[in-house]
Amino acid sequence: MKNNPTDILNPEEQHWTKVITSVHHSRFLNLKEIWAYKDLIALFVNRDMAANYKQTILGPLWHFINPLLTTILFVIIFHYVAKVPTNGTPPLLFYLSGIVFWNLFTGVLNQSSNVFTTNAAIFGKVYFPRLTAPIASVITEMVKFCFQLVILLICFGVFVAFFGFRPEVHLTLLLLPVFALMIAMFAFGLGCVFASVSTKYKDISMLLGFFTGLFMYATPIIYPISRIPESKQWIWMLNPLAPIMELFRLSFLGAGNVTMSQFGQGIVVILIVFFGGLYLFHLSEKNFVDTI
Amino acid sequence: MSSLAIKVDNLWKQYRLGHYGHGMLYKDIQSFMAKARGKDDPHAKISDDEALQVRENVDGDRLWALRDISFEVKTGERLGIIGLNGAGKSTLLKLITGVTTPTKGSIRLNGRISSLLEVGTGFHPELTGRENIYLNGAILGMKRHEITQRLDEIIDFSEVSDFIDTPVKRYSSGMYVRLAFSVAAHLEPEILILDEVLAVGDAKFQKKCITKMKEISQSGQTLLFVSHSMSTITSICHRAILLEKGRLVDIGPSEEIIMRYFAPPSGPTAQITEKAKNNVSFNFKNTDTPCGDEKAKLIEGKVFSDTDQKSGDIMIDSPVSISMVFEVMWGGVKYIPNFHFYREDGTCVFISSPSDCRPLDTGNYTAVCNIPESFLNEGKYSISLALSNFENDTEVHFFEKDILSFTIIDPIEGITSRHGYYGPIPGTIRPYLKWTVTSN
Repeated sequence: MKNNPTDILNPEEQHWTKVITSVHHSRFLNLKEIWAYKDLIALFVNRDMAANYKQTILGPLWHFINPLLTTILFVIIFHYVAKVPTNGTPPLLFYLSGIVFWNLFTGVLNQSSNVFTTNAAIFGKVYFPRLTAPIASVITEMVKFCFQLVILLICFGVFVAFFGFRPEVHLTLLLLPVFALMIAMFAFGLGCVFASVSTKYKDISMLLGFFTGLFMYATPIIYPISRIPESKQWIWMLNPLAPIMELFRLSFLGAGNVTMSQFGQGIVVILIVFFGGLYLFHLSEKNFVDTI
Repeated sequence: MSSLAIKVDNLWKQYRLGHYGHGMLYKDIQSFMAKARGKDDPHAKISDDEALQVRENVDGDRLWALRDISFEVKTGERLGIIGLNGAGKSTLLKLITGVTTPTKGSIRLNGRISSLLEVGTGFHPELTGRENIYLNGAILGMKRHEITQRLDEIIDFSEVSDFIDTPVKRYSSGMYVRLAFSVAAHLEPEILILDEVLAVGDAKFQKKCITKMKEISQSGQTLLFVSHSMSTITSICHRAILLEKGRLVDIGPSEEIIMRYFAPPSGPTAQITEKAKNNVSFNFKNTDTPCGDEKAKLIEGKVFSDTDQKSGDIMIDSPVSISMVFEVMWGGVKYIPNFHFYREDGTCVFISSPSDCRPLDTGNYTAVCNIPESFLNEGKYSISLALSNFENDTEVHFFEKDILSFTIIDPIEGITSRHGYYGPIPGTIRPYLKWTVTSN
């Protein structure tokens, strides 16, 4: 007589939906799992947008006021005091276009580099795909960017209608969503690197503020790239934000110096940083709760 | 229906003590360089002998929060996890929920898992109750349409419907907890994990939660429950595990585990217990380590009957008595002696305590429990002796597991109820009952 194998429920034969071991926890870039949590991402975005301006009188208007105030400050300091030329475009438009992009970059960078510290309480209690948090903050920053783009368009319209500003708008303007996406990806990748390293070495997060400040001066935000001697421009163009910024100003305001190969080189750098950051994030997400 | 929901195998979790920071980068680089050159890590532990590490759960600047934990939970079972602070309960739950990963070992899960390790995880103070239900539900793994479906149910259960569109920062802590519990209770995961959540909330709401949790479990959901409230554990969980300094000390029926949890560390029991023969008596009068706490202690105990005093073999048709002498050092408390009878396979036959207990003054007392003849079936029985009181919270003064034992013998010949049948008669007890057989 043989034993009927179905009579015995062998633990090895039983179906398990999830196995947690020390070695293997989750796959790298488990997009399916993240997609399953898309509602959570949406709710995170909603939370960040809504909670930001609750109990303020002007509410979401702050999305418009902030960049305008900065722009006015820049116009005063850099245009009237330092007399930095703007390639013949109205300074307000020049600085505003720079600030709108720069805000997207710093916004995403700050949010994603702080992802472990700001979410430590939730991450320490519940498991959900950790990437949902930085993804949500990227989307939030993208939405804010869209608001700010509206101001840029309004100002642009005002200058065209009342100040006789006649720019040559290039077809590359259609690439605007690509520009924004690339900047966001770059900032996201850098942010993930900072976030991962700072789970173990907190000092890194102290460097971040200095790093962003420095990076702003290395990017043609407050000055046109044409101010840099031609022979040294390639150094500037190693920074992937520089060709994007120049291409954007070129297509929008009709003034900028950039070649397609510089732009392509920027894309390559961005992709490397993006995937490198994602991988570092993946390595640190499983145990950061113990060290943060 | 004996499928498993959770299977934990040889689980170990190590934490680093102290601050991460100063000198770490430098040391990490040193370790890395040594590894790269194929040399020994200069910062590795000096001894890798596992037995040595295990002796104490602190090992240099490392702490073993969990050491070699293995257990299984069947589908639909409610398992309680008890232990003192720092025993590793929360760490265990964190590993099961996937918040952090084990150092060694594995956890297998079957079914969607959801946890409430803290009240209001992810609640945002600025958002309203309704918005937070969605947010919290999504964090715990629900889809938006699932939450919408159950929204009314969740709000009703939480009893905060009047304030559902008010930001939760204006909530009282009770309202906050109720809302959070409601969300978790309506998740309908296959495995639900709860940690200390019933600590807040009024008595009425706590009762409601317990009812809800029993309901959850009857619908086939598996429940893991960590709490310091023993009455909650016994009323919810079938079984419990007891953790002590990261080790799994015992697993079994919740009542028994709770006795072990409350009992002070065992005295000289370990030397006495021998599996082979019966322990019919013991005497702690002359031992240095008292068995008990500062209020009462166990002095002696014995099994006695008419037939045999020495071997502990009791004829099935003779009565047997268990007596225990204990000393009360703290008077005025209503001490309750209780004896726990177990079969060799661990089945609890019954637990008995006197029906009327008065507060006792200081002094020595003898408690005797009489078991009538023709009551227990043949076989070996072990008895655990305990003294507890339930005046404020459960308090166990001593609990000596399996300290006495006896064997019921069935000589077969001359046993009146056999009527010439000589085969085995199964059953834990074989009581003599009144029968009538009449003609109709």
